[in-house]
Amino acid sequence: MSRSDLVRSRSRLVYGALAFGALVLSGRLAFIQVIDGPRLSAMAREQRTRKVDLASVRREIIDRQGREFAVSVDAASIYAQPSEFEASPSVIAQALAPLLGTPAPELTKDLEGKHWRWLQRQRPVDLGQKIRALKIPGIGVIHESRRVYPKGSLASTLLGFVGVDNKGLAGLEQSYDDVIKGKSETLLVEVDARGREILRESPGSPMRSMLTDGPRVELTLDETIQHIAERELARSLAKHRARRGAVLMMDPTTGDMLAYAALPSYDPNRFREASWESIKNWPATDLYEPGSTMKIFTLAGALETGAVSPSATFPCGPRIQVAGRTITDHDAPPQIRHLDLKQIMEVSSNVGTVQAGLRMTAPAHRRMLAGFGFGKKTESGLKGEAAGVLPALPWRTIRQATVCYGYGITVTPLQLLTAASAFANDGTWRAPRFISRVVSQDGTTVQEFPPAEATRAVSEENARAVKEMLKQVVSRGTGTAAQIPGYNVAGKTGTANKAVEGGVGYSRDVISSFIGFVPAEKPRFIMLALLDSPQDVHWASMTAVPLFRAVALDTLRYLGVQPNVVERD
Amino acid sequence: MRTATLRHTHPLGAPRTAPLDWRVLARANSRRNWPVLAVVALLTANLGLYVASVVKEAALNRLQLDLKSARHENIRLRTDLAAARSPKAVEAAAVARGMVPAQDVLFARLHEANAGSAPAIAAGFGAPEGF
Repeated sequence: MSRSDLVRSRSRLVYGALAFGALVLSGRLAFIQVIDGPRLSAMAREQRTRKVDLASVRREIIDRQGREFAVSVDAASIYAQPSEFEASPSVIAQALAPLLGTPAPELTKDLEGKHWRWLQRQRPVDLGQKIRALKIPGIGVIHESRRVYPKGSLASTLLGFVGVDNKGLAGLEQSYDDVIKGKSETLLVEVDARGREILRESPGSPMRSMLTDGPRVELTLDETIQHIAERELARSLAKHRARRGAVLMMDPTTGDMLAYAALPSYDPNRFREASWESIKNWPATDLYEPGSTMKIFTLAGALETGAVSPSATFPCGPRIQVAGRTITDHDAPPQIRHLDLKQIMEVSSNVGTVQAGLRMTAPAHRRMLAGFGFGKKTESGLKGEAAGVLPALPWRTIRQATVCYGYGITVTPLQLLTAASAFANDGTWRAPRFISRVVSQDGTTVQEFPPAEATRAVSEENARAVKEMLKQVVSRGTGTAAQIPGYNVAGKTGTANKAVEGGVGYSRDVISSFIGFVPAEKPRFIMLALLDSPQDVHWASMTAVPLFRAVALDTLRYLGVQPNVVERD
Repeated sequence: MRTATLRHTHPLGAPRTAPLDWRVLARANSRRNWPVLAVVALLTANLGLYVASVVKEAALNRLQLDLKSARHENIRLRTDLAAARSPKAVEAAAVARGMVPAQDVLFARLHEANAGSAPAIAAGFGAPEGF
């Protein structure tokens, strides 16, 4: 064998071995990729990924016209892992202090110790980028979501707010947390060798982008009506130096809440600076004795039970004795007046209302009030909503008499509004609705929240009779300040002394309220205007009624409701 | 591998290597060294696929970054817009420009010749009521 043949044969051997090796490798590769691929992929995925709860980004809240009440934006949270520090806490603090806006000595204290901790949460994304650019070992930035309320304090009492962990802490954000935080979904994110989420910490993470495209929660509120209500309420509070006030407006046919104004309020973007008194959703949680507005239900009950006929009249003096107690009418003439039901309502006569109410048996009276929803929650879904107190039977005569004109029974403003909506809706009322649906970005309905079932409280005929009484209150009685040219307004005033808090008896402070609807023939809305402890002037006719009128007038214009009462020059 | 060297006498006396004749090499490869070609082809293909996947992944990451950035900007702008279009802001801007609320709103009734409209009346206060 020549030398060249030897070289050739050895070369073939080597090439053959290499080719065989390549074939073996290719075969192995094919086995791993094709046959064993799924199992290995699952193992690898398990090792390098972690399931992350996507429910941490809340859905946007919009009004019935699609205008944003609450949105979620990206935010950066800065943390410290002292075990990874390569410089002393004081040196790190010096570098971070100008960016975080915290004095260096204070920051140094925060950085001492061994355990992982947050330095600041939910700060602007730009700040996170600047801190990341410093590349300080042991200082990291995590992308989170932050709730922003672009309208500031508008409807804040109802909306509530969320904490740093994106959990609803007040208002609708808390009450409907499950709806607003959305369906719980999980996303697999990559983690590094130490188990840290790579995607979440990466500025290029697609995760947040995917989440912010989610469905939106549509409220029944109308932003413009809400603004009108809050604006006029603020003026009224300032004018009458009242402690607080509320304007609640509802579409009586559906139970949709159109406005829910309660002042003083707060800015939910800075909820930590707010007092509990301004955060509390008191129109749904606080009870009060409604006073004369309860006469609507007393006379409706008397009619519905057949205890009185629509044409009945009652002799009314300035006072009446019931079970040894004297019940008086304010500013009543000394002589006896014969008042029918309309007139009793018109002048808001306690004496006449008590006479009509006491024609009912106590159980029938109580049953009628329960039928309007008194003594139980309205099923609005609001957390902390109070049921009110409808006293249990048996009732002594004086108890029944005082309940007739709104004492000895307590309600929430929301409850009163809901109950009175029966007279604007042919005798039936519906639980208030705050959320109408959940919609996707393209407007497709994802989840529907239909109006509650209608509950019949009184017959259609009696509802119409009461409506006529309420119209007369505004046309001739205590509610004339609610008149709006071109429209028939129906409503009832209420001026109730406040019980002494933690004591016995009544204070000099009052709760002035007016509940009414317009146009009376086919109401577009029913509204409760309420002022707590107005000073100087107590009468609802001079405080709550003008407030009602101001809100109603602008709302009618906004809704484009045509006048149905033509007045010729 | 056959190198096909030719020995010449260099002017300085040192041997030198003749240039490769690639045609000879190709011929030799095609005939006898197909395993080498197969290995080279496999490695080249693997390298090509790897490079292609890296390029695509980089492009995808870039797109995701752009997408995220655009969506973040979208939310920020929508939030700013929502604040700017809030009724309070609009009303304040209107007042600053000297606008005032309309005292009366007239509704036209096309088919009612006798229709009229009522001017806004000054709201008088009603009679005080009893508790």
